[in-house]
Amino acid sequence: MNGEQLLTQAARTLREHTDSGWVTLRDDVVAAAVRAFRPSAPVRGRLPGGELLVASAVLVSRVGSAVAEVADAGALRITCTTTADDELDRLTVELVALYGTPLVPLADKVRRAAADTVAETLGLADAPVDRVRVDVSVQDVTPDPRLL
Amino acid sequence: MRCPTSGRTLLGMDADEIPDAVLARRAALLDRAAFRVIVDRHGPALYRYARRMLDDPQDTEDCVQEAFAAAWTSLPQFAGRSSLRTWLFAITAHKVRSLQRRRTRTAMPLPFAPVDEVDPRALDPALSAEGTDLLEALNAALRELPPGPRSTWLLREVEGLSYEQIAEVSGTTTSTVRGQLHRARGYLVQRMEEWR
Repeated sequence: MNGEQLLTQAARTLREHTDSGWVTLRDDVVAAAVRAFRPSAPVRGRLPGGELLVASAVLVSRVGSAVAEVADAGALRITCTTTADDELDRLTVELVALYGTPLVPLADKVRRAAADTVAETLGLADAPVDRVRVDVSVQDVTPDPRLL
Repeated sequence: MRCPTSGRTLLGMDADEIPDAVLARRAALLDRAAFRVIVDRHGPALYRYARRMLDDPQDTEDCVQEAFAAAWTSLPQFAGRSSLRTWLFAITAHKVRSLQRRRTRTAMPLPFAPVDEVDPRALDPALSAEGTDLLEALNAALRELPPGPRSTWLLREVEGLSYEQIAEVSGTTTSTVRGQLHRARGYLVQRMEEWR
């Protein structure tokens, strides 16, 4: 083999190689990364004896988990806005829907799931469908369920 | 008649089948299982790249840890303009450059430790020994390259990035990438010829 062929083979060997250092580091990487703080605005909730502040990233995450349970839909992006007093003002859920799914009933299910989760997370007695705007926006459709 | 898909959790699906873009948007919503799949999918390549750019196991660990922590916190801003893989390499390359700059202000790099390169899970001992020799020769030759051409060669020939993706990762132009790759290839061919 000449130098070019050797280099090609060496590159291929390296491509298929997993450093032992990575094998020992892998679990630490995940644990350390998810401890990293994601800064986000607080959202005001209610407790029987007072008030509760929840990071908007946590609220968005919980709504994302709830939307993930709705068949034939996937959350692309979830955003929320708050008032100057940190009260939740608007929650927007952007969706991808499975091709062929009737969109209006689907959006209604997503809206209800999101509103129920907001109520549960913020300690509200009722889902805030009247007080808080929960907007659902279908941004895309896909025939591939893996893309939901 | 089409059956509706049931409620989904990541654990209920074959992780290998889930596209990067889907994992990225789920991890952006604090889905740790999705992030773990991202780490498992791209971690070996990012570590492989950082290890050969930094020549030091501790610096490599710090670099990869910091890169994934930065990815976790920045995922909500990941807009998908580049692929997740390119985006992760860009973060890692940035961390590599920071560590290299910090290092030039402190001490000389430690030599590459070959013992760290032996994969204990290798299937064939004979092939493994041959491959390890070849890898050691390549690692030695790579150490002699300046960071720019070394990075470009690794990203192109080992990790399979396009010229455009390498330019994005390195913050340079495709013509610079072409030039660096040409120089790196020429030097490495010569060194492998000598090793033979």
